[in-house]
Amino acid sequence: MAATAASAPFAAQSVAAAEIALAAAALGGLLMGWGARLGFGCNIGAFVGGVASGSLHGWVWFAAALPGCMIGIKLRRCSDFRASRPMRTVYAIVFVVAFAALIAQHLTSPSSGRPVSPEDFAGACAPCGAPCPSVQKK
Amino acid sequence: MQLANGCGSGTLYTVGGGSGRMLITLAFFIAGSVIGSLQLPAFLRLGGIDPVLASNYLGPWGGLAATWLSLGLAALAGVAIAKRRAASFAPSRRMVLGAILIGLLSIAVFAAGHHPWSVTFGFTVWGAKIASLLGRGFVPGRILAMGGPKRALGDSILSDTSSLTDLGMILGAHGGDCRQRAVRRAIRGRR
Repeated sequence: MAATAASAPFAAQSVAAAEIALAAAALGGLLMGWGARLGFGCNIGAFVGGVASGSLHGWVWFAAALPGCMIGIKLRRCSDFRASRPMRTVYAIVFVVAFAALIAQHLTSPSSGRPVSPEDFAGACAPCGAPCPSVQKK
Repeated sequence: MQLANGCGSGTLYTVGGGSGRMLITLAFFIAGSVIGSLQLPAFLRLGGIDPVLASNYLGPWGGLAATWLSLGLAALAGVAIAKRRAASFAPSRRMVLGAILIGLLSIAVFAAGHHPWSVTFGFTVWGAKIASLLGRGFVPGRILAMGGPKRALGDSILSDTSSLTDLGMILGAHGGDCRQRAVRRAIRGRR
């Protein structure tokens, strides 16, 4: 993957533009993470999964995402979103460390090895564990 | 999504393709989802309505028909808007094949994991595990203390279906990227 990163055709850009692009990447990621947890998923978990399940919340997610995207598209012009130069070493280090951590935690954690079952969701309305509004009121 | 140039899965497959910038997006995505999971109970207390499922009112096949109808209407609306703006909306054959493949694979993911394809829950699990490693005082919050998430947090990351699909996407994108490079190199070599 590091080789892939090194040979990717990334455009060179000025330092200021690169910093803005990285800040935009960070802010975008943070907002998506926060929103995805509150919205019961992102494009796939909430929108695709919801619509495919015949659940209204999928379309509600879509309706809410549209104005957000319109705002985001306007903000995009302020931040050059073309990728910055590949950080080959950083990339390689991240993947080696992540892989090692993944193996280490796997060897030190229990692994029930079974798919999710109804008992996991007892009392919950959604896979994330959120209770149903009608239940909450009690 | 606009600032980061990708959604949840977009972040993953771009990372697999070698983007360093997306690693930053992914890191903040993970952090944001943990913060979100801590705040979700407060937002839920604002109130809401119970899930509205088409199949509850129309039965499973009626619900399926309603879903297809809603998608058809959305497609018509999308095409109409695209035509009005003179934008292209006809997908390439590769896109259609890719979409069909994704559809089939998401059925397989559903069959294997017993829940619809989920991307961002994996991020919350990764983030919560890292948070509990780094700060002994990390309180998972009510959401992560509930059944499914609690088990995911206690078990290995490789036990969680959402995590596994995320890791799979990174590897798959990497594989697809490698293949693309090989094809491009072959084309260049032939010239």
